[in-house]
Formats: sequence, C-alpha cells, structure tokens
Amino acid sequence: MNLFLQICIQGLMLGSMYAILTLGYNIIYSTMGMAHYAQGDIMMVGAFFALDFFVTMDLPIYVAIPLSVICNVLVMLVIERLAYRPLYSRSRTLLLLCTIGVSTVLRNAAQLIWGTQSFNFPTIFPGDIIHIGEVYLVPQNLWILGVGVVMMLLLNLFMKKTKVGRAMQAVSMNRSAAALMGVNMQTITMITYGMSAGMATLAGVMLAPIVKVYSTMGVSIGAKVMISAVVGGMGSMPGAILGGLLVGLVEALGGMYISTTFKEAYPVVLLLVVLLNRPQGILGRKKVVKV
Amino acid sequence: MKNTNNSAKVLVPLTAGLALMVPLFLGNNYYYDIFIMAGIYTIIGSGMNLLLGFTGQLSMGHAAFYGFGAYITAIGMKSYGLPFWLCVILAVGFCFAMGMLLGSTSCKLSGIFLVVVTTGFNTVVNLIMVNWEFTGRSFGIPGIPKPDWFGSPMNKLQYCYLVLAFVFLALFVSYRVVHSKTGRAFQAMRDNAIAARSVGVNVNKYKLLVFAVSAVYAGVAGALYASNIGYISPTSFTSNVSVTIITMTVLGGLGDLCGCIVGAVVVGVLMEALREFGDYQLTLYGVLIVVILIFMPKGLMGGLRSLYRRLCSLVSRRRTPAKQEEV
Amino acid sequence: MKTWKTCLALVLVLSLLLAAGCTPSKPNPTDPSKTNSTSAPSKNTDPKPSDSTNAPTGQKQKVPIGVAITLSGDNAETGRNFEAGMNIALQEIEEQGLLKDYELDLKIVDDQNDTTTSLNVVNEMIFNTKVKAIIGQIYSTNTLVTLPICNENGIPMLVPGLNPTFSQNGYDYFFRVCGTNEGGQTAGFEYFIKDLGLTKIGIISETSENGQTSYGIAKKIMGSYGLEFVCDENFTTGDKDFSTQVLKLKESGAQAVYTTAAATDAVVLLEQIRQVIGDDILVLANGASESNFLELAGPELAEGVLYYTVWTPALQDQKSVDFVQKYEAATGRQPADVSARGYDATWIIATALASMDGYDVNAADFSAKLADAIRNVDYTGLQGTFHYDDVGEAFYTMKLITYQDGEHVVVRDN
Repeated sequence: MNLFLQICIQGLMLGSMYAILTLGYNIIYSTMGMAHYAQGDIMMVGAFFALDFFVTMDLPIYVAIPLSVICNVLVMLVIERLAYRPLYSRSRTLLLLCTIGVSTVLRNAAQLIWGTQSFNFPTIFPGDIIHIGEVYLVPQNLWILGVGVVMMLLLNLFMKKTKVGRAMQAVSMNRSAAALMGVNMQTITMITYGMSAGMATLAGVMLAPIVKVYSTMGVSIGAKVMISAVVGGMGSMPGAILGGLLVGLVEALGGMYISTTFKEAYPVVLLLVVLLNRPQGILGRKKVVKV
Repeated sequence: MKNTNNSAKVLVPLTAGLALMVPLFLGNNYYYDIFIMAGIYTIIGSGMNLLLGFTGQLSMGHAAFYGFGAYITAIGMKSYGLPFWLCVILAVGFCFAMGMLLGSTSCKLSGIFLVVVTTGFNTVVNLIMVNWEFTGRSFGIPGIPKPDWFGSPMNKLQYCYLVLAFVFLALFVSYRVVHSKTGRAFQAMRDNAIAARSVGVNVNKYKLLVFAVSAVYAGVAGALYASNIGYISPTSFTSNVSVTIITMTVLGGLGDLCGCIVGAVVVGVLMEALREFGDYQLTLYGVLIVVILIFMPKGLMGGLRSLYRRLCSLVSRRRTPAKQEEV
Repeated sequence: MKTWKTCLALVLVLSLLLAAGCTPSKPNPTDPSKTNSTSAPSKNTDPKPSDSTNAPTGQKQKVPIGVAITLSGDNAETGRNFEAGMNIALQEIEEQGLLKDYELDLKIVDDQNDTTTSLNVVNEMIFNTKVKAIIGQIYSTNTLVTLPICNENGIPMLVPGLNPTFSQNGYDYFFRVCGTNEGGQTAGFEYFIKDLGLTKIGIISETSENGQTSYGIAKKIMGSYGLEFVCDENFTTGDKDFSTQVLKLKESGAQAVYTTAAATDAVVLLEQIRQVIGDDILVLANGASESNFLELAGPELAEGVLYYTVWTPALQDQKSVDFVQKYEAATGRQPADVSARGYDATWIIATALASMDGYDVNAADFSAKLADAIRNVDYTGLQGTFHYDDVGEAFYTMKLITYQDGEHVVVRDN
C-alpha cells in the first residue's frame, strides 16, 4: 500500500511539471487557436537564460528569475512577430508547420550559443527529504506542485477579474466579435505569448535542478505536454492541470506495475482511450464550427 | 497554360534522361550512396507530399512506416533468404494495412490532434523496435544483403538504377493520382473538407486511401534503404526523422509534384555538401523552413517555377514585343 | 508604436548578445591544433613541424589516415578529448623522430554521431581521400555501419569503442585500441561478488544499443556466479525521470547497482538514488568514466562511484604521469580515458608504419601491408602492451576505478 501511495506521489510530482507547461500551451491555444509545438523549447531557452543569470553571473535568485522571464518573453515576442504573425491569415497547418520549424531553430541555436553539453543548475528549494511514515517527499517536487496550483489560481483570477483577462476570454470565444467590440488584438496576442513564455521559464527553472540544463530538454517534455493538453482538454486551464497530472500518474503507475521499458507508451495509451471516448478532452469544450 | 504543358512535355523526358545518365558519372561509393539516399528521400517525400500537400493531413509518424519497410526487408532477406522483390511486396502490404489503421484516426482528427496521435504511434513503434528480440532490439539487423540480379548481388551502380526505377514509378503514380478525379477530390478535401462532403466527395475514404498510399511510399523507401546500407537500427526511425521528412516536403513545395525532388536534393545532397559547416547547418535549415513557409509557401519548387515563368515571359516579350502576353 | 517596437528589438538584441557572452565556459581541450577540429575538416593536414621539410633520408611519403569521431552534438566533449590525446601523441612522434620514411597526414572529420553522416564520412575517406587506415568511431551504432565497409575495402580500422561484438565477425581489418565492456563488467562484478561478497545486485540499463549489449553481458556474468539481478530495470534514452526505477531498486534491497547510463543520465540517476536510498548502496556506472561526470556530479556526489576503464589519470606509471602533465599543459583539463585511446591509436599507427621500411604508399596493397604491420605490432602505451590476436583484440581485462575526494583511485587492477 505504501508503495502504491509513494508511486502515486511520484506520478503527481511528475505530472505537476507537465501541468505547468501545459497551462502556458493552453493559454496560447485558447486565445490564438493555435498549437504551439515549440513550447518545450521555449522552456529550454528560459532555463538557459536562468542559467546565465543565476549561475554564471551569480545574481541573486529574485533578480535572476525576473530577468530570465523578461528575456524569454522578448524572445517569444520576436518569434511571434517574425514567424507566426504572417501566417495567421493562412491555413492552420502552415502555422503548425511553422511552430515545428521554430522548435528546430530554437534547439539548434541553443546548441550554438550555449553548447551541447549539460549544465548543472542548483536547486532553489533546498531541503532534505520529508518522511511521512513510510512515504517520502522531495521538497523540490512539492514546490513544483505548489507553484502549479498557485499559477492556476492566479490565472483563474486574472482571466475572470481583470479587464485584460476578460478580453482574452472574449477572444477565445469569438475572435471577430471581440475585435468588433474594441479589443486590441495585437496587445492581447502579445500578452498571451508573454504569459506563456513567462510560465515556461518558471517551469524550466523548476525542472532544471532535476534534469540539468541542456539543449534538448524541451523535446520529450514537449511531447508529453501536447498529450496532456489533448487529454485534459485543449484550451482549458483546469484541463491543463488535470491532463498533466493524469499523464504523470499513468507514466509512474504504468512504470511501476507493468514495466519501465514501455514508460513512454503509457501516455499514448491514455491519449487513445480519451480520444476514443471524448475527443475534445476530459474538460474540453466541443468546438462548434460554423460552415 | 498551354506554355507550361508544352514545356512539361520537353522538360520531363529531359530530366528523366539526365537522371538516367547521372549514375554513370558518379565514380565511387561516396557519390553512389548520396545519389541513392537522395532517391530514397524523393520517394518518401513524394508520399508525404500526397498526404500533406494534397490532402492537408499532417502525420508525424511516417518514420514508423519507413522503419516497417526497412525491417521487413532486413529480416526477410537476412533471416529468411527471401528475394528483394518479395520483401518489397510484403512491405507494401504491411504498410498499406498500417497506413489504413493510422489513417482511420485521421478521419476523426485533424491538426494538432492528428500530430499528437501520429507522434504517439511513432513512439510506440520505435519502442517495439528497440525492445523486441525479433527486430534485433537496439542492436538492429546487421549484414543485410543486396538484391540479386541474375544470380549475383547488385553492385552500387546497379542499385542506383534500381532506386531510380522506383523513383520514376513513385512519381508516375503520384502524377496519375493527382491528375484524375481522385486528385481533384484531394484538393477539394484540403481546401474545405465540409464543403467537399457536401458535394458528395467521400472524404473519409480518400483520407484513408492517401494515408495508406503515403505509408506504402515510405515503406518502399525503407526497403531500399535497408538493403543499401546493410545495417539498420531503431535510431534511424525516431520522431526526429518524421520531423525531417515533413520539413523536407515543406522545403520542396507542398502540393507540387516535383517538390519532393528538390526537397530530397536539399536534404540528401546539399546537407552533405555543407557538412563542413556542421555547427550552423541545422540552425540554418530550421530558419530556411520558417522563411519558406512565410515567403514561399509553394516551397523551393514553387520559387523555381515562378523564376522559370518569369524567364519565359522575358524571352517571349523579347521575341514578340507587339503581341499581347498570354495570360 | 514604431519607436516602441524598435526599442523592443534593440533590447532583445542586447539580451541575446548578453546571453551569448555569458555562456558558461565551454570546456575546450583541443588547443595546440585548433585547425584540426570541426571548422576545417577533411582536407586538413597536420599543422605540426612535420611539414615534410628536410627529411634527412629524402622525401617523406604522406600517409593519409582518416579519423572519424564525434566532434559535435551532445557528445562533442568525448571527441575533443580523443583528439587532444592524438595531438599529444603526434607531438611526441615528431620529437622522437620515429617516422623516417612517412609523414602522418591525419584527416579528422566529425561524424556528428549520426549513422548516415558516418556512412558519408567513411565513404568519402575511403573513396575520395583514399586514406590508408581509419581511426574511429567512438559510438558503436556508427561503427556498426562503417566497420563492414572498411573491412570490405581492405582499410584497417582502429576502433576506440567498447562493444565486444565488433571482433565476432571474423573481420581481418578490425583492431581495437582499448578494452571491451565484457572485460570491464567482469572486473566490476568480481569486485562486488568475490571481493565484497555481495549477493543482491541490481541493474538499471538504457535501452540503447550500448545499454542492451552491456545488459546481456552483465546477465551472463551474473549467471556464471549463479546469481540473478534482484532489480532488473531499464529506461529509454532521453527519459530523465528515474523515480520508478529507483523506487523499485529500493524495494529490492539491493546492495549494489550497475548502470549503463552515460555521464549526464548517470548523474541524474545517482542524485535520485542518493536521495531516496542513501549512501550505502554501491554504484557502478559506465558514464562515470567520462570527463564531464566529475564536473556535473561534483566531488561529493561522485564519492565512491565506480567505473571501469583500461586507463585512468590515477595511474602512477611514468608514461601516464607524463601524459597527464602534457595534456593539462595543452588543454587545461585532466585527460579522460578516451584521450588515452586517441594517444595509443596514433602511436600504434606510427609504430606500424615505422616497421614498413618505406614501402610505397601508392602501392595497391599498402593498406593490407599496414594491416599486417598493425597485427604484428609490439607497442607499450598508456593502456598497456598491445599485442593483437587473430580477431583484433588486445586487452581482455580492465581496471576498476573509484572517486575519492574528487580524484580517481584504482580499486582493482586485473
């Protein structure tokens, strides 16, 4: 029983990592209607910025993190302006292909700039393992879960209470109507991408101490993020959290009770199960397309 | 329009003839292998073009089909001593079936959903390749023989022509499919699936068909790859390879029959020639993709075509300044 | 709006420059011959004083030797370490004037750790550049593609790789310049089972080619002791979450664990093992032999971690001490075991050439004669004395090393 509990905790910790990234991914999907394939790689860039500021330049953490967030947001905005904006009026497939291209560029550019090896990143939340009975908890992972929950709550507040948040919701419901009502599309776009990049940076900073910082760190997590988004419901914020946690749980439980060899396959099975029964995702809304 | 048809009548046999002559001048294995790989990429690209360019389905799992063809040929030829052509037929059959299977998901999904599912497919297939005793696990299959030609195994030069034969076949089939009622149905599907359905196009049937056909193309390419290189392992059939297949097709030109040739030449030949600039090679490649998507959505082939058209109109303007230009 | 955008662009450019400027110092061990590395590949000759001037006994014949190693990507470090070792050897060969009739013309090319690129690289070397021997490759998936080609075309290939299957094909042109995984694991498991009397051993292997081959060997060795692994887990390449595997390891009560993980993964795994299980469990890791392991893990985490190798900077014989000194002077870093492989490989070729009495480089059977010379070579290098047997192996045993206070210490010397 203890083992089961322990592995569930592991799964939830892992899943909370996915969840934070998926939140950023879903923000873009809900507001812009596009799937940002390069989300994992933006996280990687954010982690590298944090590495530069926190480790190389030895700035204090409360300076380093905001700086890396700002830098990453800038990178994201430039990419949006140069690569995505020209394609909004064209087909969705082209836009998706473009994000794939951007993902490749980011990865290889990171290799050029920072190198191909892995770099150590110190943990921001030091502390020994907490033991509750037979079960143990790693503080870093607890913080990740906590940050994820806080982020979701803040996001919720933001979307419901602030003017900008409500504007974003309006855009996600009906783009043209929102524009007609005076919502400044460019500002909303920039804010959406900015928020997404900021969240990705935070996710990167939290993941980095565990897996180290390296140029392909966004690849496998990017794939899991997309599965989480689809499972939880594309464009839905609580769906992002739910999807991420589910994928993490399935991975951990499957690895424990079936086999670790096929760990990568279990989220795919989950994906198929959800898609067959509820194609819009567990908490997703069915899209009604007017022809 | 008459102009382009006439020029096609000249250009196509010309390029075919040139292609037939090229292997004779290659000289050694280094160039033979590059030529063969370019041919293999052309075949995969042609299939992917049918799928993505003509019917707008984005599949990130085609490396799996490439792998199916390679493994079937490898195991068939090495362990069971089957002749090459039989392995190809088996690969075609298997890939067709698996293509239909994966294609069935495409009937209900599109865009990012299809991408996620096909990526998952690729992941699972790769996991099986890596862990199954039958496929040699991570070690793969070494010592794959070349096909026999009248008793003795083919040499590289003969293999070049074998690949070329398949390339011609692939391009011809694509051409016939596109320039037919089916082809028009594809374009209707790509542009607006709902409208297409409303005029009686059986969208699902065509989606399945194209998926299966593109899977077959990838499988045949895989068969040719396995026998040429002599050793295959699962690392050649990962999701990254799927991404390369897609980017290669985009480079060449979506929806353009000859685009796959250009894409294959860029990835197979140009990348090798630029290997010296290794550090920047991949970054530039990625930037190239983005640039082409934004500024040249018809790909490099489209760019070449418009260049050609401009040259033609320049020439015809010179010759007949008084006559009005043909639209 | 426009000025705002311009400001934004400016800030971005500045921050990118900042980022590029603040890159954590990239370890770059190759300095004496920068021109020999990636940016100027194949058509490069050895820039050392051996520029064929004033050979006392007439013109020296240039012998083109291809070197196909990984100089880019995740494992660029390993390739650079190998190259640095080669450069030290080149310098020494020049200083000692070993080669009277020949001049080593090394063509160092990056194989990008990719099978298709490796194929193209080796093809180019054999058919265009017409090399007489090839030194390479470090990673077995690439060697598996190119070794048959070298053998088919009669080009001796000196392989600095550990995969034992290379010598099982009856290739006449295969020569290994290091030990095999089998020898290493034998040493490791002998230590656990014979020396320490442990019975509960676990294994966490990567499902890569290297990992699975190592797993097979490990299982065989355990079987020869009549034992089975109490925890038998694996992980897919790229997966950094080892929580399930570590938990299972804990549950099994293993006293020691062997992992095939490469350096970075080994560090991540090690961290998780120490966190969850503690310090008592012994860890034997393939990746601990790599040069960046100590850097990433730090002396505290690396304490007590075991690895196997033929050569280690810990060795105290004169040759090794000299080598370490020269290497540190040239690159500012400690050499890795691949550096010793590079050193020995270069010396073996030079020694073999020296025994060929100026045989004509352009003769059709030069490569075959070179292969014979290598087969009969008697060379004592960093890794030991090289006497090749029929299948191209020189060593069947390895040493077991551990880290103590950030230093390499020999535990067991077979």
